[in-house]
Amino acid sequence: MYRRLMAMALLCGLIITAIGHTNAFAQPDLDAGERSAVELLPASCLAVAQMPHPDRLLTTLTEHNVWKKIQEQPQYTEAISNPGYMMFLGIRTHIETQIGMKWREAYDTILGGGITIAFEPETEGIVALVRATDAAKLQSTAKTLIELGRADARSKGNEPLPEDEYREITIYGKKDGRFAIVGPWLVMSNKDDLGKKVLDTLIDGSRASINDNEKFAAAHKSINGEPTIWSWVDLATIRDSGFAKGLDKNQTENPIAELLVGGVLTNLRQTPYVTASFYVSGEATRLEFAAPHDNEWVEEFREYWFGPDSAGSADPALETESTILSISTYRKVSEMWLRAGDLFDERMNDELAKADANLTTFFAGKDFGEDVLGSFGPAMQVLVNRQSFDDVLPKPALKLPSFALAGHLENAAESQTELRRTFQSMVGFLNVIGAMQGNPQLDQDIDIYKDNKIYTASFVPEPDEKESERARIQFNFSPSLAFAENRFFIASTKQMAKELVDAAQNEQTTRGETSNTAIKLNAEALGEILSDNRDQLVAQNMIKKGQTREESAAEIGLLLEVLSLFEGMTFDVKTTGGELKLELAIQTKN
Amino acid sequence: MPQDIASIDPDWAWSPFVPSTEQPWNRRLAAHLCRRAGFGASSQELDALVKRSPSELAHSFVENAKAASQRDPETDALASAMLATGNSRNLAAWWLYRMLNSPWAGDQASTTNPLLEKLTLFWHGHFATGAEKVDDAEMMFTQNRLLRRHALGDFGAMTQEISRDPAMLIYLDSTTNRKAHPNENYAREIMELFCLGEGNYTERDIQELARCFTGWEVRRKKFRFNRYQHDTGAKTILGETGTFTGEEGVEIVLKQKALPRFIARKLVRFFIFDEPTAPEQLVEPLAKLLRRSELQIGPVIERILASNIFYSPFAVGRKVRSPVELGIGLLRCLHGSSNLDQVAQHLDDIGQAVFYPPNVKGWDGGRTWINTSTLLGRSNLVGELLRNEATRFGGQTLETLAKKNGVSSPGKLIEWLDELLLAVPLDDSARKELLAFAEQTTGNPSRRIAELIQTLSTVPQFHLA
Repeated sequence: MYRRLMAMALLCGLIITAIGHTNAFAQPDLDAGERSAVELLPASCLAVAQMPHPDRLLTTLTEHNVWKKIQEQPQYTEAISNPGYMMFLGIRTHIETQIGMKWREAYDTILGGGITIAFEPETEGIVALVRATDAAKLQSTAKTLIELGRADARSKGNEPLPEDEYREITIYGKKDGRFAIVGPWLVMSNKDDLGKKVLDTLIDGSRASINDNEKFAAAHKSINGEPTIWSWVDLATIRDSGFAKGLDKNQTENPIAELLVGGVLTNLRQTPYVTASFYVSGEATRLEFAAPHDNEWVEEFREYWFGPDSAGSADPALETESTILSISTYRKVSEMWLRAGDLFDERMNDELAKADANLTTFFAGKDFGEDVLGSFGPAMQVLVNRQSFDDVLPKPALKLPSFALAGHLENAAESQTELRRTFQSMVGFLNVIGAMQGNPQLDQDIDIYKDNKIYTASFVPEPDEKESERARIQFNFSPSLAFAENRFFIASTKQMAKELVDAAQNEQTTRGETSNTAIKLNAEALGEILSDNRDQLVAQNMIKKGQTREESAAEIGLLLEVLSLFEGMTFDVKTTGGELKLELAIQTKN
Repeated sequence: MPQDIASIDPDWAWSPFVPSTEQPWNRRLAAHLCRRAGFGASSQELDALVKRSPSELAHSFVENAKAASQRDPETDALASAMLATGNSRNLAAWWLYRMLNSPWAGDQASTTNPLLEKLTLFWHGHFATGAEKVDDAEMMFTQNRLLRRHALGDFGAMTQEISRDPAMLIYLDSTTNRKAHPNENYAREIMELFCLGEGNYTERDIQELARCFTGWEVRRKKFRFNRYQHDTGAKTILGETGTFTGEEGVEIVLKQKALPRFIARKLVRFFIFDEPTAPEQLVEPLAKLLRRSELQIGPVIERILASNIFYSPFAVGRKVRSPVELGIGLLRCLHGSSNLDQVAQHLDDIGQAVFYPPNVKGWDGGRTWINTSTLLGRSNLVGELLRNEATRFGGQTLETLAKKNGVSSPGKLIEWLDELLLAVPLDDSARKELLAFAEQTTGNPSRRIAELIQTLSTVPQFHLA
């Protein structure tokens, strides 16, 4: 443990040492501080990542509600009482004394001007540029830490940090990792040639930099707001150089992957670059991938994914307060099914052909791809809701969420009849299987709800099961089919079918209007369903970890408490403004 | 003391063991009691148990187990949670949890007791029913409750109930039994495997008893008597004639003289020695006690656990540990806890999946637990249990556990493990080899102890109970 802590302390030391040793050697007269990091990077860089304000990130994290909650937990108190952590604190204090600054001040001073990292293919090297807000403090701190590191190495009989010189600049480290300090800059690289290129720019002034790369300049110009971390990858060059061969493949063996990200692959085959922006604030953490997009790039067989002119748009999700997860998407599934020959490999096509034959039989001879899937509109939704069993008997022991598929019918009058007949056949089929397995039977019914028909089937409990509060898992389900104008809902429960009818009538359109795909996870509803099944979770924990009930209950309690700090998560795919954008966001309560 | 089993004086054998200077009552003997009556005991439990006399312990073990058997485990939230998944494999982990977490010195309200779990396991092997065929966790759980409820009670009542148990009837293909075609499966097994043993009935008795069971059916997972399918004619079973019902047929079997001897012999094999077959004169006193107590199991168990023979060299180290005894025993002795789903899977790999006995005869036990493949598997089980990331020893590491028990050197460690884990003490050469091994190994102390225990598991004594 001590060795590990010393190693950590030394690592910090070496980084800062590298920074602080500048005044120990003669340095050319540079206006290094005047340039931005990207002006120092060679034009040949393929990938760049920037964190302009590491100090702000640390402030956000340390002041975040989630972090405060974590600090309140007994496990945290236990962890910081650990002898190893206490030793670490001792070492940190020693270093603080030596450099004359608290660690936080040192962090803000040395990293406050930002961190930039880049990859350069010619040298296969990575360079990191760290800019301090105070060059003098950077240098004095580094000097102290280098000396501390060298003294420590000598005391252990190790070789002290070696140094060399390049154009009057002192270089520290060995061949596979050196660093130098120039003005407010700490320059680190794993390849000498790349490090020298950056130092040459620092010494000689103007040279072609990554800023002169049109793709980079375009991307840099379009930065949205102030991301905590922003990165750019020159995808065109990567493709041209023969890397990323996987992108050349048109066909896949996985229909689910095709449905989810098929369109993204189309874009990645053509787009010149990709950017990723990471935003952290007190309310949300957001990761945004963006790439230029042109409708001309979309192959005919992928139009099912993007829609006409890449403008296919998902419906607003039919959410209610109890919605745990909603997935709303634009996919012309019928088209995908019929174009399977272009999209999937031979094996998958064989599988799909078998499935097509079986499903065609099941749907009373209707062609599954053309007629059945073809009767659905492209805007489809999958919703998962928490069920309330407050006024219901029997109550199942394991309380599952309800779920539903919602969409539009292209020819409602005709399609409704077909769907209803198939639903009734399915219920009959389930009853035959259920009878063979001794499971309860489904009783079919038709309910009129707000002028809409709901075809439903409910499990019939045994006489001694009617009032049970620990009933079989089947009592989570009452499969239902509902229609509201040209909409259809296939739900696992009648209650959910009714909720969807309500939601459709209320036209809740809070989000997702312009998304190709919109996914939302509601942490509060998720927490509630986990609480509903708390006994199950505790029992599973007891079995999996061999813990006592009390220990397991405490662990599950902590999990639920941590979950309660989050609002939820969203994931959106959009094709607007000439861009394909993927946005993942986690919302927290602050 | 007699020299061989054949010459054992039954009076001496079943008289209460009284500790003497030659054979003092100590932690090693207390550990033997706990291994046989349950699945072993931790060092702290042994400290508490050794303060009481062997007879006193046998009596309290039986009384506590009987009390626990009458408390309804339906309220067991863990079982409910496992049942909610509908998977019998999850039930195995639930049962192992009970075996592992039942206290020897349990409070009066406890529904778990090591002897109760051990006897339930015995009856599970006796009235063997496999979940693979029954394919319903709820029914297997109901049968398990039945076995637990009667484990130390009335064997007659248990047999009557198990005869109508849906899981048993499904397992023996007896879900329908029509008078036109009586199903002989259950009639055969109740006489051959459950109550009398071979040679104590005829094929004709089986056919006649099967007629008594006509009309017995399983419908929607419940027992049902279909009076229209019952053969109401006269039957002659084991010398008695009448228009017997199924219950009356079972009662005739229960009255047979062969029954107490059959059950007593199985109990002797389970609790005292695997081999050889117990001589008639040794079994007879227990059989008489069973008959005299109207087939109550508890008094027989108490007599066995307090007896001279139980603490004699005829019993100590004369049984091969079953996989459950090996795995759960190791954890119990080291105050351990682990991922019981994985433990259940490992036990399956080496031949004992609870709720999944291999056939209607149950597990053969004895030497059959060991073969070239299971021997390696048993050693791997020990290693896996010790190194699994979910395994804790009293909530701590092996190093902390050893320190708490005053282990300060490799020599003391071997001494501590020898007494705690082995039925037969290590001989000098094995002890020296282990000491050399313990002194050679370096690195993380917990890992070193684990390595030593796994090495210990390669010693033959480790597999004896």
